[in-house]
Amino acid sequence: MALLQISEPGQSPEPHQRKLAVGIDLGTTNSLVAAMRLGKPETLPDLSGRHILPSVVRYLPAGEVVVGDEARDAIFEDSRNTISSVKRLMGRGVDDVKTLGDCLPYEFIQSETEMPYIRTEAGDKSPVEISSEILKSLSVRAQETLGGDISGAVITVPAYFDEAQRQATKDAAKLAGLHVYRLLNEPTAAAVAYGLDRGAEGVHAIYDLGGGTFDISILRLNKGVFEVLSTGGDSALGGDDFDHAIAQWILKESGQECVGTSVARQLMEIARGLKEQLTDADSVNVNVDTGCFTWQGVLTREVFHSLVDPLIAKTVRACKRALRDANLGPGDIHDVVMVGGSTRVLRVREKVADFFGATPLCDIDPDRVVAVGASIQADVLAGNKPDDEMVLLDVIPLSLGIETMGGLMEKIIHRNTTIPVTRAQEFTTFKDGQTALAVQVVQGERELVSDCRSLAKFELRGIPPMVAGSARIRVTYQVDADGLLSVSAKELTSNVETNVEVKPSYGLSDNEVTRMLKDSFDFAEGDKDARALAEERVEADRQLEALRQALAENGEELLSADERKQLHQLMEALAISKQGEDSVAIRKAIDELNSTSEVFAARRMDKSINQALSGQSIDNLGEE
Amino acid sequence: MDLSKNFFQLFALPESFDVDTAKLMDAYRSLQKVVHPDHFASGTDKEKRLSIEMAAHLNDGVDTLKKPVKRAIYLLGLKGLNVDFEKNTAMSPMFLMEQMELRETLEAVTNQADPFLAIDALYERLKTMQSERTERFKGAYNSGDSQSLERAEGIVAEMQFIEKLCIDIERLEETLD
Repeated sequence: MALLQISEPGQSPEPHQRKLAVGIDLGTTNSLVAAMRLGKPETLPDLSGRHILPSVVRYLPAGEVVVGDEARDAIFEDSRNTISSVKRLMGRGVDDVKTLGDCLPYEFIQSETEMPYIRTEAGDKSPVEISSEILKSLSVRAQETLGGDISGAVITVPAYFDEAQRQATKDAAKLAGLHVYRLLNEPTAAAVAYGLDRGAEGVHAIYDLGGGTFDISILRLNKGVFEVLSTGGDSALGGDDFDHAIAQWILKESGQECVGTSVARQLMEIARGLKEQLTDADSVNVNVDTGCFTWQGVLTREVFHSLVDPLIAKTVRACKRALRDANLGPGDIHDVVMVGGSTRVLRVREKVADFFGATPLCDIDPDRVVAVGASIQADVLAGNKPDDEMVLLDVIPLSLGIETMGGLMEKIIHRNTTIPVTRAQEFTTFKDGQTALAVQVVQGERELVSDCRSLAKFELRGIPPMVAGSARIRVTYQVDADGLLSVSAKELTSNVETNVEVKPSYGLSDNEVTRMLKDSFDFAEGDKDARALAEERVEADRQLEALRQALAENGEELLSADERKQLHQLMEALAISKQGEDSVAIRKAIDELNSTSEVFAARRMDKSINQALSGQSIDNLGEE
Repeated sequence: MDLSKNFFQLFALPESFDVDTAKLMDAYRSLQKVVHPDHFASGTDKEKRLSIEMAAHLNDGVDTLKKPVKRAIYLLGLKGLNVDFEKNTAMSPMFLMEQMELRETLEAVTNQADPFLAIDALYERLKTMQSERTERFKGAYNSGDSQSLERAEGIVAEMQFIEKLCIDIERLEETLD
């Protein structure tokens, strides 16, 4: 006889109602997908049992796409069509890409925006498209392993990713057909993985050194609330740079001048091998046979340290700054969580332990810890744990500001401000009779706009002509929980208003998105309408379900009979138009339902707030 | 959430320069637990928008009450005194001299044998200057008469100067990397 199954308290008693949610670590070198299985977060393997998917995409002439180990095997023989470390190109402009290094063997094409395309045998591909191939591959894997459609994903990004890089990541997910619950900072994800397992409370440092990026985050965990206190790092520093330093050393020692791209890649591979061997050995023999030159030598641990110490010192300085931003000293740190494959380098652990005066934690596989944490959060956001009160409070990594007279950057939101956040600042006109104002949205820490990154430009028009300095233009920046920005500007004496969703200069233009959606092999030409219809239906379901749940919780209590009736009628109307084939009609029904449900949403929110506050004052009374 | 409440009322705290950070953070966390967008990942669009607005308001409140300089300005604002950094020129000559000397020290940092060490020393010095002013502000603010409040306003202006210098140090340190 089969044993009766009893679910854990707080978990959904009806398994068929559980939503399938995944956490995805979209890494520079490797990517992973994880999900909750039998109450435990686990990374998911492919059919051959491999958990790690190398972040490598190869395009074949017929348009076929190969992702992962098979693509990586072709890196040398087909380097132009095999793209690795595409994460480094996300949200970057053509000029940024040029400064990224001499070792990129791709042919870059200028697009209609600033975003660079890579010319492959299967056509020109943007970094967003290439990333979406990796996401698709992981999404298919998850569907096959979990046996159902994925309702949503938490995708991790380096805390140091700027607005353009985050937007690019979200675009890639959209292209891969994934619903993004949230973009989560990698260090925060790692903390979730550790924090919940141990119930540890206190201040933690997360030191994350991956292949191409370095992040440091200081966070506090208190009663289910994760607060990121500060974050810092370098979006172009990682284990690859260790390899690069070793490769440079080989070139210098062997007396070779600059070599071709394929040899450079081989040297990087050799360097990586040497770095890994030095974890156990005090010195290793170096044998280089690239076809172009041969060389033999010995790399000792001392020499290795002298090569990587300056790089590690850079990360330690970033740690120091992050502590200062959090108003803390090294002694305040409870423990240090190590994330990222490059933290396997013993020298890194040594230096980090020295600085924080604490033994670094590395007991969860540093390659998997981020995906594991993301999957825990995805499960909570999917609503599978209604009793879980976990809240993650992230910060923005870089200041956001506006260009003012003289090319100066005026900060509106400072870095390390907790998000979501809304900030406004007032400006005025410079000339008599000025009727328009150009707003340039800038990101960065430097004083001159030219040293920062320009995110977007827009114009506020229709200002009534006035004497210089008498118009009052309020510019409002809002950053949501994903770290994405929207900007609005309003002239206060006349109420002229402009709203923009910030489409980064380095992002995709609408034309490009349309073309990619068309190109995407899931949606062949002509399927665009079908896709729009499918998307609106999913959206309709989402809204209906959310509202149904809300009504069941406190519809009776917070709404009059008339109000309830009106809502039910609109829900019915939406359910009917959802059966039809007209995506525009569905959208209209959703919008109508939404605006009518606003009052209900506000009352529900007020009720929760009052409850939270009264609980608070009872606590306070208890203490006094 | 009543957005017209001042931040002290919002977190159920007495209106004072001394803020019980533990209580502030407890109130903040329990409110974030109910309004944060993470709660509305599967909610309606309206709920999502409302939740961003409210979470942003809470963040603004906690940021204001946590940081001494911001809190000082906010408190004076509640008393009807609007501190305007740009227009406040009535600094004591002694303070201005000290500022100039600090600026010169900052500019010379890059020529030091260990610029990072020099930066740390300068930073520590500024921290001491700041905490000394914080105490003086508290005294003046607590006295409460209009003359004392005016004095408090002058002290805040100096605190803003020092804070600006700290930011410039951080900027400089980043360019050294």
